[in-house]
Amino acid sequence: MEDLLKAARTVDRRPDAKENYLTAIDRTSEPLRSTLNGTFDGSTQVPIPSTAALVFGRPRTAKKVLDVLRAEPGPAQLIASLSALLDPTGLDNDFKISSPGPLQAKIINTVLTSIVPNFWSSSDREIRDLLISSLSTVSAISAILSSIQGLIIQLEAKRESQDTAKCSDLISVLSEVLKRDSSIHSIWTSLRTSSPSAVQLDLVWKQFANIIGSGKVLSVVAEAEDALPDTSLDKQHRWLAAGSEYAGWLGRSIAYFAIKEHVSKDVSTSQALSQLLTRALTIGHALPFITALHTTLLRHAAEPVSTTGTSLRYTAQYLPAHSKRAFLEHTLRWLATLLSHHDTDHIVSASSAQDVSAAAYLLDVLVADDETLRRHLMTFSTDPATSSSFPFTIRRAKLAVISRKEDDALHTVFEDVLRNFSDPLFIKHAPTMQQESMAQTLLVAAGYIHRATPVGLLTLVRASGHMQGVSNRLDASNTRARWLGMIVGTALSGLVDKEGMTMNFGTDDMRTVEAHWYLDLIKVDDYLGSHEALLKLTKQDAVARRPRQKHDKRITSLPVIDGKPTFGPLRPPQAPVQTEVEGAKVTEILDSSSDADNDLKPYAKPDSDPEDSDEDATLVNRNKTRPPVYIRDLMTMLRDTENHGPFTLGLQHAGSLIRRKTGFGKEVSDHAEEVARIFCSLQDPFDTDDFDELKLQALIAIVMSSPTTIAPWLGRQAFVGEYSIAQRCVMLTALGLSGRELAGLKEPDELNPVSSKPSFPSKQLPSHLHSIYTPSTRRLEAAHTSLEKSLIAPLALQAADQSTAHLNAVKVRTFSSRMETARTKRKAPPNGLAKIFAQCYFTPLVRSYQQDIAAYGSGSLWVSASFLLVTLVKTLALLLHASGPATLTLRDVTENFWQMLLALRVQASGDNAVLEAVLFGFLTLLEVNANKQQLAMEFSKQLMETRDWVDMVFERTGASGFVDQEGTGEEAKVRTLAAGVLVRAGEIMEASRAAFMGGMSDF
Amino acid sequence: MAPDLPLQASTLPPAQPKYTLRGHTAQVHAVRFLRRNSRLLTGDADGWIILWNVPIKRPVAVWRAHPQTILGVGVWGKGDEKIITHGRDNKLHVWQIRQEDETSLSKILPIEETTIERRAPWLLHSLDVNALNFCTFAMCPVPSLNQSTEESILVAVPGINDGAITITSLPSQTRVASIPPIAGINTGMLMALRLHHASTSLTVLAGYESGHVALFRTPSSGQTWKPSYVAKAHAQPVLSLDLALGLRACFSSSADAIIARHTLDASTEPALLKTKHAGQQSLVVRSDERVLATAGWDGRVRVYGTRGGMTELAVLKWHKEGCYAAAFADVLDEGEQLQGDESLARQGDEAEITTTAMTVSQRREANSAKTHWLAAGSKDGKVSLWDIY
Repeated sequence: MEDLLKAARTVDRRPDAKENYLTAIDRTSEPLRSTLNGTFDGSTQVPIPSTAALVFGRPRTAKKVLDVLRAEPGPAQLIASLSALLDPTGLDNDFKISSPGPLQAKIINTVLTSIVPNFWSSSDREIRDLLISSLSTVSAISAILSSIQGLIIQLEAKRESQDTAKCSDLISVLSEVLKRDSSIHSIWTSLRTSSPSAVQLDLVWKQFANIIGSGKVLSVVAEAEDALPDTSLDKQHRWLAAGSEYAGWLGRSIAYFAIKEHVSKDVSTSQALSQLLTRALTIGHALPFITALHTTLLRHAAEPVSTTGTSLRYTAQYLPAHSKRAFLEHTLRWLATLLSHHDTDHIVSASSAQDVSAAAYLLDVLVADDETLRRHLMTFSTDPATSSSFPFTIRRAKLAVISRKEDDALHTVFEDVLRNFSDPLFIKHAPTMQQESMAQTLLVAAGYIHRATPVGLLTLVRASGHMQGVSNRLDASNTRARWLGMIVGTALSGLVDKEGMTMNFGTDDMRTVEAHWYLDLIKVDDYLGSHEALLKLTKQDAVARRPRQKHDKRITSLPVIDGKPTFGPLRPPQAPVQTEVEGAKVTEILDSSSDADNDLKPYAKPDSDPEDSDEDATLVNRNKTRPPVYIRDLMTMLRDTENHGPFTLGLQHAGSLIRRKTGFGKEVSDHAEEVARIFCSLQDPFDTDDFDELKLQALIAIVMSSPTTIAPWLGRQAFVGEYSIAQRCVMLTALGLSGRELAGLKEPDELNPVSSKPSFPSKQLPSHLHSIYTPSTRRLEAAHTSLEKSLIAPLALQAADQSTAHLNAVKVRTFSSRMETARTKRKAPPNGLAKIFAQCYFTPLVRSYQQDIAAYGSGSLWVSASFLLVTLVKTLALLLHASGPATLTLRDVTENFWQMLLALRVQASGDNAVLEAVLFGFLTLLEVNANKQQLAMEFSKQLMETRDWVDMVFERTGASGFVDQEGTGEEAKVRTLAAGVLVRAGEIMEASRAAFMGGMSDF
Repeated sequence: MAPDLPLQASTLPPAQPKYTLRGHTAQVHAVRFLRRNSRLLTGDADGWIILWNVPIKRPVAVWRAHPQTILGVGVWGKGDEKIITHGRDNKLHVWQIRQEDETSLSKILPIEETTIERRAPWLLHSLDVNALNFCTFAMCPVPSLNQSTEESILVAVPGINDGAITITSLPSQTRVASIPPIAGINTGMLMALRLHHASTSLTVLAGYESGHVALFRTPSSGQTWKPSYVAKAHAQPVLSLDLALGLRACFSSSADAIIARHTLDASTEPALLKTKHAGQQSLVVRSDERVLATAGWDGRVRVYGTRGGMTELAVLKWHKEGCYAAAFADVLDEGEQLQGDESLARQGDEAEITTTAMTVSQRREANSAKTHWLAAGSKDGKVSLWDIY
């Protein structure tokens, strides 16, 4: 009763006798109406108006409805007129609110401008439902959006509470109209039944697809959210402004549409669907969209078998060719994320064979009757760049699908891939990743072909340039390319050649684990899985990805006692505890009469007598935690996000504990990966002091405990998963610093790691902002700066030396300075990094980076967040320098790193930080490769390219005039680095010329 | 006593325990010295009672008095022959252990063996205590008019209603009084009790869950019991109370960090000491009323002066876990001690006829009796003995 009264009061803007009479009637109707609440389940059903509405009689024409709405109706009149609008037989002239038209536009406008602001926030369910139903039309949705846009402009000019309320009302109307998965479908059906002509239908739907699919809703609502004060928008309507949630809703809605309609043969409906889908594929949140789409389709198809197939095919059948390609690609990406959470490495465990076949099932259903999609699928397999951007499991699934076809599609694929693989240009220039993916595709395809028709494979191998390809590969200078050629040659020869005639290189690198894995690829035979398997896989994925709830501690702040913040568990919500003594007055005992006690001499306090942590006796914590002694303890302590004590203590002792326990039994090595995983995803629920530093120390310790396993794992981890930029930076920093430690280069503050606090706290951001804006790469930065200095300083000295060549006679090296240099030179510790750098540090990082770039292109985090990229490049450069000239397979490392750096030239030209990192990388490369002549011979092309580009950079930075004379500032730094690279490159070229002249150049 | 030298250090070094008695397996809830400090009675959470010989620090009697937690222990009678135990099984037992009975009782500590049955001493009385709370009983002797009859005592236990007190006389086992809950104040459960019988009137001191401390005196006949003094000194339940008649004061401690001193005569407000150490239990005032001690949940026993500012005199840290019980040995004044020595000597005379010089064991006993022991029982089942002031 009470709420109704309130509602009536709100709209009662002209309190005359008549209005009061209306509300009185309305109040009596309450019990009748209550049965209606909650019956509205979101289908096309129209809410039945209560009897109160009928008291006044319904308006008979749309014009009349408009008049009623304009005349500031009471609740009962509103209900009557809205229900008349919605009732298909309610109005004369066959008027339909869902079809477009001038009268409808007027009605909608009136509803939005006068009815919604008055009624929305104050009305009960019935009126809201009626409003939602009458606004569930294409024109209404676009009208809502444009009114929101209008309000945003007003809000930006001046924020008035009236506009704010209006705007948030409109957003919540929009959210209510759209939020059900069935909304889009019901809008379509009502539009189709009410539209007079196909052309009009087409036009209106195009408009709708534009609004919904193109992300206009998203951008407008997000803008509005920005313009509104923080608290005004209800949480449940925020999904409209959250890209991934919106995309998920769109996916579910489209899936719902397809499930409802796939049995009908109506062409216009399916075209409408594909219009929407085409739009939606470009929305920018492809993964949540496609995930929602596929999971909904799969779930709904659980009952009648094979409907997934049909509804999925139905979804895709009328798409334009390029959208089909995008659809297939996004589907593959989604499957890749589904399969890849087991292991990101390419050594695939046996258990994933099931997953592969489940993925193959979906692909098969998708491409079964669709020639375009099949062609795209084949292209995805043969194109090196695309193919390499998917994990191996997806490649397997693709080949399994292609191999099931009767025609010789697989032969075509095989031929294409083989041609690419044997191409000298490809061998020479393609990244290792692509070469590997091609080799894998080739081997798996060969296996399928051989099992089907052994002779077919023989013909293919003999006819195409296979032998030429192998010999091309054997000529290659890149060891990896050569090795891949050997692998493919051996494997194919094993299939087609007779016993005893098989190719056998007999080298050591053909007997490694990896080589055996490659050779076994010809035995891969995946079957097409079932619907159930795929469904199970999606469910597993959903479980695995459920985010850990962050402990929300900011609801209530912890008490402050004596000006110091206290720590500990939140105060439990409790009845007010009395902490003060009641009663008239309390007399504190004064020390005045203490002379009576003087004959008793007090004992000294014991070694520890801590005062209570809390004034409230119920909150005193007597269970003091002890530092962890075992790795197991450490893990439980870190997982405890509820209690401050154990968490902090665990974190503080983590680094030293891991270092202490390394090599002590198998405690650390058994749990190394698990511990590393904990630290990678560790968040700080308690604002721990030095959290980043402690985490970094612990990560370094765990990498140091077994670098050969953890370093590659961490390198891959930095690219996968749902980590924040800061977390990824910490991982990279840990890799960099652990590598330096392995190489025997201790950081200056290694022995006292936590003491290095910045000197002026006033120059820092507040602590919580500081941790957000400065991810912990400080240590890495320090290492980078010192290294940079050590690289540049001798060059500068030399330059100074040369520029004063005419003074040579005067230059004397003082005896004492020489002694000093000799004395300070310590015997270098053994370089443990050189042995494993390429395999454990460099390759995983670069490979994951290239895969990420290949998969997401410019959308990759590593492109958009240049900070991350800078950290990566600097880490690599630092590690390479630490590893030094003795690095194993330095040649391959040099080639790959150089390739990566050259590829970054475009990005570097736009971003000074990247530019600096790239130049630093070049400088390190040239520095580490001590054998100048060899470098000049093997990498002459890269050297020239680098020199030209750096020359350009040098000119440009110099020309801008920004460089101040003192040589400080970003530009100057870049210029110095560029100069350093130029000098080094010059030296190398000089050296090669000297070699060419046979040492005659001196004369 | 010689006047303090000005150069002497202002504090003594931190105190260390003299002895620790390890016998209980469960937390020690009650400790009490008896028989002129020659025996120590301890009770634990499993219902075990151990009677220790203090001079030689060995058990002389071990039995399981109750199947559940011991709440408190007391002694009664000439030569402290009767031992009262109060357990959570809602029973209050009175046992008889005379000097000669000790030999017949088991000396096997619970820490060595808990399964075997020990012989229990002679059970004289058993009272039912119909209250489901943790409040231990209180007792006081009633000076008997007739010297020949056995000394009687009054025992106060919580009543059935929350906040009610029942007072029973022993050995007659008749109910003397029942004090109703305080009208108008929601006091919650009764937490601590103390009794004192002056020549004619009885004083009852009660501490409640709500933090109130109330004082009752025997009303004139026909009147109901009404508190003559009520004060809320604590924010948390009162844990213990003790009387210091010489100072006309009583002290209370509670689960919060406050120790309160109440005056018995005038209804002035209590004086509070905020110790910043919450949870101090088993407050006891030494018989000379110069110091009081509390057993802290933080594992430290604290000693405070009773006069004036209640200064913290000593913090006794040894137990790693919380302490639940503390007790002072009686301070025997010189005359009493001499008397004791003489009586011992007389016993010696009877035994050896020829010499009045004490044997080694007698000297040990005499020294032990003179020592100002403080015993503390802890959650870890250990009892520490300190020599304080």
